[in-house]
Amino acid sequence: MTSTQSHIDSEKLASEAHEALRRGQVDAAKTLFAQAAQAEASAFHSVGDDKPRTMGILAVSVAALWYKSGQLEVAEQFAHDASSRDALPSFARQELRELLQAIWNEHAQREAGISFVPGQVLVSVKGGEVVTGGAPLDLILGKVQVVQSLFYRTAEYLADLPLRMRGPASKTIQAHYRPWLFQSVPGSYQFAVAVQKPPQGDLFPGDEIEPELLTEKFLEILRACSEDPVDGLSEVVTKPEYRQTFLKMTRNLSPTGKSFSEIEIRGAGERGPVVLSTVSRKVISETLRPATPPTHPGDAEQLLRGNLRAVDLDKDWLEISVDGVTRHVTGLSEAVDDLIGPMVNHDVTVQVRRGRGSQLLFIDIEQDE
Amino acid sequence: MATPRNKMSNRVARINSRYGPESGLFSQAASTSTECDGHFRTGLDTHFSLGERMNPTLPFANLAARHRGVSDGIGLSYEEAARVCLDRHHESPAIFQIRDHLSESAADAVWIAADASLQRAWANEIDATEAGACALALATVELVRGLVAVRRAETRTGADYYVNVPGAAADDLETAVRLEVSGTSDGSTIVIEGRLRQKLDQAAKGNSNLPAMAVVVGFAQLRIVSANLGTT
Repeated sequence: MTSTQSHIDSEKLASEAHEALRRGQVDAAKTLFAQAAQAEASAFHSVGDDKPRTMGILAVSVAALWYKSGQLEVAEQFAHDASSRDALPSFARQELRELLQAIWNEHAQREAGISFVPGQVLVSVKGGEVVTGGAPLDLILGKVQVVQSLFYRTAEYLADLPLRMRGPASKTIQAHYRPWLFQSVPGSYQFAVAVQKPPQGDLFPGDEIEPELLTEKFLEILRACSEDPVDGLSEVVTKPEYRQTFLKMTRNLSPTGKSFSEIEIRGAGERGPVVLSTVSRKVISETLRPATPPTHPGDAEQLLRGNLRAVDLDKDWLEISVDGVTRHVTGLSEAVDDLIGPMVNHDVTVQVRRGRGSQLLFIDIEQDE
Repeated sequence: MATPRNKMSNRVARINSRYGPESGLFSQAASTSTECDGHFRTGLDTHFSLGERMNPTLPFANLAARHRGVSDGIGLSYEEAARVCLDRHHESPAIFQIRDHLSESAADAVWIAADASLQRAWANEIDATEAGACALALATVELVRGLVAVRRAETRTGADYYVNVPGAAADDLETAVRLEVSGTSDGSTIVIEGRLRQKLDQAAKGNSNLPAMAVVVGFAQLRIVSANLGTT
């Protein structure tokens, strides 16, 4: 069989596999991916060193097909073998390394004896102070915390629970939808988040959530927040109070441009990532801005930039240290715990308006980088 | 006096001169221009016509017939998804504004509205947007550059198409252009331009598989933008 015919066969089988996957026929898809990998490998072995780019493209294709077939050991072995070919171009080596990291993560999860909901979420933080495989600890810790909060909020929304204003997610939610953090491929700073499969039981009697829906909904919400925060988000999240919270959390995830320039979130196996940039942050901030102008001149808004020293949501106030002077801000009724809590002892910008006398009334808060 | 075809050739020559290294690709686009009802059409300059102004049609139907890297099944599913995505925001026909690098043009999208069963089959908006964007991206490169998909190769997170001039060997990808496709159902112009900027930045930094180009399709905005990667 010629190289061209092998590749035609591979393409046909891979196309059928993708179609089967779309129909939810996972086992059939895996079988077809394996057959496609065999055909593509045949094409790969017939390419000479005089066609390095073709060789590289096919090497990645074969390894990816084995990976998609679920035959991780075969994929790993092939990736190693292909990488040893001198003529292989650097882009292909890089992509094979990424595949190997994904394979090792899946191995680690299997060996841990823990089941995860299908579909990891890969988060990449890029630009600014972020280097390949490394990033400032506080930056990453902050982002991981927001991602975790967003997962819990998504689970609560899907469970049709009222918006939680105070305290962490319930123990039931935390236990049933526990996000895990995995290392990912070096290249910017990346990490993978997988949700541990919940034990069988009645979490929300009479209103069971498909756990697979969680990561899907999580990405759908993030995408709507960043791309179409008004109409699109209204379709994805029907409760207005949840919309506000999701928008503010997504804004917290988005860069200001000082420490990093971009955060990319993608579902494993999905091509179109959700990209949060400084533009996303600006668009979300504009969406969140109150539509009605102040009615009295004294109501003019002002921005306080400083360090958030204390918050008491039960007593409805926060304190911010601005140039060594503590400013007391009240009226936090719409602020939620997991949004504002992680900002304590960090530099923030608080948007306020004047109340009676010297009273400062809370409008919004954003963490600075 | 210049004939219409000469006029078109002059126009293409000016564009080639402006784009320098990309001239080969644009020359190919010129060769795909068609004559129809007395109007010469090219995706490079839809303002040019002998009589009334007409836009070319985005050829996203029957992709497999012209793009040998697209199988019959995948081609049909892309077309279906594109119809579902277009139905979300518009009625046929709709006019897409296309920018390929610095060249602006317009093209008509013509489709049959999806029936209920098709809508159900493509109920997942992310899947539909992704597949629909592939249909319009392939149609765009065919229209504006005269390139067709010669091969599809798998990657960890999906698959890439490689486009080349019609008739190019499928087992030699040394000069084929890798096509990166991105689609947004509701995204604003800022989102569409941001996606393209992001792809340009990524290609400028990394170990990219070049030559490559990116096409971003915005369904709500009826906007398609594309550019070569790794050259800015």
